Amino acid sequence: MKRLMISLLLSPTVALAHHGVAGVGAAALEGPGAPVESASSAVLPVGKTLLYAKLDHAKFKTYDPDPANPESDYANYWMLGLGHGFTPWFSAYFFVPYHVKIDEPGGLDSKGWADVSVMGQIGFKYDGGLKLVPAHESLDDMEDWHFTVFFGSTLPTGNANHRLADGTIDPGKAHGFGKPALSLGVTATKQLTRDITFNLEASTIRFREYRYDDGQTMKFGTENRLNLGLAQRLHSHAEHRLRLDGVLEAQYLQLGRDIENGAPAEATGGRMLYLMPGLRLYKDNMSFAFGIKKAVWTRLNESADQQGAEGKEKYRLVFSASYLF
Amino acid sequence: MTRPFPLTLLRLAALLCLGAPTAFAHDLWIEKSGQQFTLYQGHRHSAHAGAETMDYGKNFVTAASCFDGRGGKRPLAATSPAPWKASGECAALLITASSGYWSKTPWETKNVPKPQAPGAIKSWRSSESIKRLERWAPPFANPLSEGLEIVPEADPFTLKPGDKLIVQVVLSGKPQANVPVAYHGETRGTTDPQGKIAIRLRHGGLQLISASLEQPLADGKADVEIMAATLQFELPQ
Repeated sequence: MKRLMISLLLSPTVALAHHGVAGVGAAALEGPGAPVESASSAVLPVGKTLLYAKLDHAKFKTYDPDPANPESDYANYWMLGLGHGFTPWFSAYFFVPYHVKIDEPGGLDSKGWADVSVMGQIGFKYDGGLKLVPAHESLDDMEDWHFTVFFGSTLPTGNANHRLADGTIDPGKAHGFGKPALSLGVTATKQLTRDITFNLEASTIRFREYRYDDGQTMKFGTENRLNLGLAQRLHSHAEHRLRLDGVLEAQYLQLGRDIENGAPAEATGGRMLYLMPGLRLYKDNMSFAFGIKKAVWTRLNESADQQGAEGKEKYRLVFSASYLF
Repeated sequence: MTRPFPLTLLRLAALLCLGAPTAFAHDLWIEKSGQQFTLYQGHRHSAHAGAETMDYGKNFVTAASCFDGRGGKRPLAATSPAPWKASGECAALLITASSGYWSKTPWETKNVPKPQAPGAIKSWRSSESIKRLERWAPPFANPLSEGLEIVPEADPFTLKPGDKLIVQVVLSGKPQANVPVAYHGETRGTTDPQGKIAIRLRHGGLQLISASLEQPLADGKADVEIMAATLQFELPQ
């Protein structure tokens, strides 16, 4: 048995208390918390499967009131995922995204299934030395530093040459990158107290140049992230198998400049810092997370011309749901 | 652009939901004054509420053994049955106890075997043991009895608060998997297939690590036997 001890039912019951029984009872919902959006150091229990769904709704600031110049209004990034714990320390995931990118009236919208992605995750812990996550950990073991290394790639299943209503190809609104995009990251997680968990993620995504059907080429800029998070248990109810955590994440994002037709593209790239307060609810073997993300500091390369880009959101709402079985 | 890899992973895997926290009914512990040991039952050292000490009756203790540093064993005679008291020079002390048979009916729970409780919906026999280590000796890395027992993997007296102690839960000398283990009444997890679990010591002074196991009983007097074992030792304050 690994970490999922949800289904354990211990023999002594409340009814037996103080009637000659000294049986060890139960812990409430214990263990480290998790951020809303950042990667954590939790690997899946061996043999267990995770179903995952996420919506990232980005509402953009608009600046031009002229209806003749429609701007980006909002985007919905849906994600479905499937994960499996193959060993106590290795999990693999498969994700299918669906993107909706909507302009103001008169603009060019885009909707469609995007590139699927696969990811592997290796879990470590520090307990008198660095070691792979063992098959069995007590709550006290879970208080140790835990780490993961994750790596993955998109697969060019989406239509990178999706043409908009006016017949053009906009790489930013395409349904795929055309070529695999590679991802690499590390996480570190420490349960600081019984109720507070610290989480760190550092990751990068690298894109490759792709030539579209209309002859243009695009290499999206590298995405580097450094995310810090704190999760605090606010409430738990053992009988209802319910736990509620408050989460605060700080997400630093560095976007490289896109390379368009072999030259650095204007109005792309920059650096920004998001803050995201949120909640994570655990119920039985399900988890639901919600967060509101807002850029609190930006240094975009050509900020005035980057409407509809990261860092230019009014807000982002992130919902996710997970089911482990 | 959004990241193509949603990496927020469910942390349910790290959660315990083992039932009700009040199920750990009471603790046993042994206090020492000079050469005299006294057995107590209650909640003085527990994470949960309850009377500080409880009367357990004069027939509660069924056996007591004193072990020397070489593992040699001798019976320890009680000088008082309730609370149980005895004197001696022991490197380790092991006491077994039982409050007998219990039967639960829709109306009440009685301290009688199942045949004496018409309409009983559940019945059990309670068996408990407590092992107090006075000092470390190599034989104590092995079981000292045939009952349910918690065995430290190494000398716990070298540890300090914040350190983890690996213990093994055994019955008849055999490792017991999936047994819940508590530290001062708070369940910290269940044993692995080798019967082992790591418990973090959170303070100095008295240390109480407990485990419980339920097994079917075929004596006709109860459905199951509920066994509980406690390991006790002390660290400097």
